[in-house]
Amino acid sequence: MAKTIFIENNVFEHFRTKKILNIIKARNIIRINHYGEIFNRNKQNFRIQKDSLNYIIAAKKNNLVIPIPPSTTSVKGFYFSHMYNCIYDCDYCFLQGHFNSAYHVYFINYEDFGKAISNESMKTKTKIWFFSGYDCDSLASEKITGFAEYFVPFFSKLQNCMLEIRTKSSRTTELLKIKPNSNVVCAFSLNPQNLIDLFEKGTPNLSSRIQSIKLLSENGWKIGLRFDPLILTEASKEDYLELFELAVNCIPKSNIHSVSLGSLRLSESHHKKMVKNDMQNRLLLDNRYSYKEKLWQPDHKIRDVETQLSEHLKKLIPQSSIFLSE
Amino acid sequence: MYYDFNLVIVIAHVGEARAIFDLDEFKEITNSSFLAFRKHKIIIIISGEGRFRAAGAVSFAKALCEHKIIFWLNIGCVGHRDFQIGTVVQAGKIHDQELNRSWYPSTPFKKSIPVVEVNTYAKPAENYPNNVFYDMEASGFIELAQINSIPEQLAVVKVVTDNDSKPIQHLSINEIEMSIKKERNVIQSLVTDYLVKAAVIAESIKPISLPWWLRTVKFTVTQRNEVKRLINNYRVKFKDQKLPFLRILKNAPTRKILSQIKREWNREGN
Repeated sequence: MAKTIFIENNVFEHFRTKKILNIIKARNIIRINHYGEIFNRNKQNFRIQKDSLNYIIAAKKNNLVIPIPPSTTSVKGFYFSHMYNCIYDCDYCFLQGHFNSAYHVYFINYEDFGKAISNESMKTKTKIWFFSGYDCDSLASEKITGFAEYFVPFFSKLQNCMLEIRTKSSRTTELLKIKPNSNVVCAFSLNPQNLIDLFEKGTPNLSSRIQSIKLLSENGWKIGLRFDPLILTEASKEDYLELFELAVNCIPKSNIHSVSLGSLRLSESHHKKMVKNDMQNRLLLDNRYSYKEKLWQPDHKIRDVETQLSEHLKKLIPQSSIFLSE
Repeated sequence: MYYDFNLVIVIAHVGEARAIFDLDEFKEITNSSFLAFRKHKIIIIISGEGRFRAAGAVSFAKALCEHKIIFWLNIGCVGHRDFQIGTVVQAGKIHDQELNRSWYPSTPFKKSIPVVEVNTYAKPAENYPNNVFYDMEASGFIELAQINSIPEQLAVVKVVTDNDSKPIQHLSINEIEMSIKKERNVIQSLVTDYLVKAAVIAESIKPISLPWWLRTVKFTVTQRNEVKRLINNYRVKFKDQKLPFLRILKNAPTRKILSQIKREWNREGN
């Protein structure tokens, strides 16, 4: 299939557009007025598009930083998206139910994101978190986006702001060229290898993620460990205990900034849309999960095991912050 | 076996259609408002010139299709100031100059077929001021074809028949047809590729149908959707097993039938 890059007219001559075109080397370029003309169309099929990807280069104009609902985390923070969608194809990924399209959208107006982040930081003296891996994998497309290259130095200038770069990628080439910064945490999503094989198509295997954690830690980066989502229908408690040991002991405990665990949970609307788009997705049809309070979430037996796992982690690294997402 | 579908090919002139397809192999559809031909799942419809005729042809073709899933393909000629005559292109964007609206069909053809922007005009272009491709039907075609279709069910293939050195005003219809005829093999292979891709897509978007023994039960829409969900869940869980037959009481309330299905199929699973 011929890959096409749709470029918004207002960023057609932008230096980051030229850089992306240089890397992607696409021959087919179509000019558009607004990325939403393509990305937000009705009647698109996420699954079919995932197999025939196109790209969009655009500038984000509104909602550059979005407050995180207080119910989802214990820290005050915002998330921001320099990219929509991800190169990986995880069966449980909520983006399948969140967006109409699987096309990759690159927002290249980093300076505008920077202004919005600075504005929020000036409103308070308390520590604020900014999360970048909500609508994409923060590092997987670093070669194309240059996201960390811009934002890691940017956050070093902000006293009260922390940036979490959430990723499944084992790509460290670009990060190792940047000076580590105490305001930035590289958070790796980890799961046992059998779950990676089953549900995380296209992602690096566990051992390469662990290698990257080691490498970044040795180079002075703060590391976050994210055991999220826990899929206890296909992996056992013992699988996770083994994973915890492996991940926690691969680097000095003082280099672990925080650890979090999260259930496999989806909003009811996302889950319904995901099932409609991909009716063969076994994980989404598991009858140990059901709708409760507008969330598709596991039954109490699974929740109990998750709590036990969290307790075990606390024993393993008592000095670190451990969060169990509700 | 793949889920069945129709492929509707909309072409402005019968001469253009003849230049690409051997219409003798098709059966003409008689008593129809548009000249149309059928061969198995493929329907060729001759729209005539202009976006209104193209839109009319699409509307009419929907009535000729026997399958729920329809794939649409517009084949025709375009002009461009620089492109060489005979270049085959696929539209990644269609813009209607009069309506100032744009559409984005899929670009399912191989990499060597350039993806371009086609602008639809009400009259033949007298010159080619912009770096776009000029046509007269694409916007009418896609505006109607996109209703009830995902973008992957829509494609537009054009052959460059006129350019700055050979503008359309100086060309006879025979010359245009000859330009298209020279690309007959390329276009035929694209149609074949499209059919293969369409079969895969149709299989993934096919609707779930109820088994014969449930078809006469008067479920509400919600109940029917629930039954379809249960059928799908069963198929995903037990890939090699046939949907088990249930003995349904003739006058049983639909609620009870639904609970029976849930109970029995869950039991099968345990």
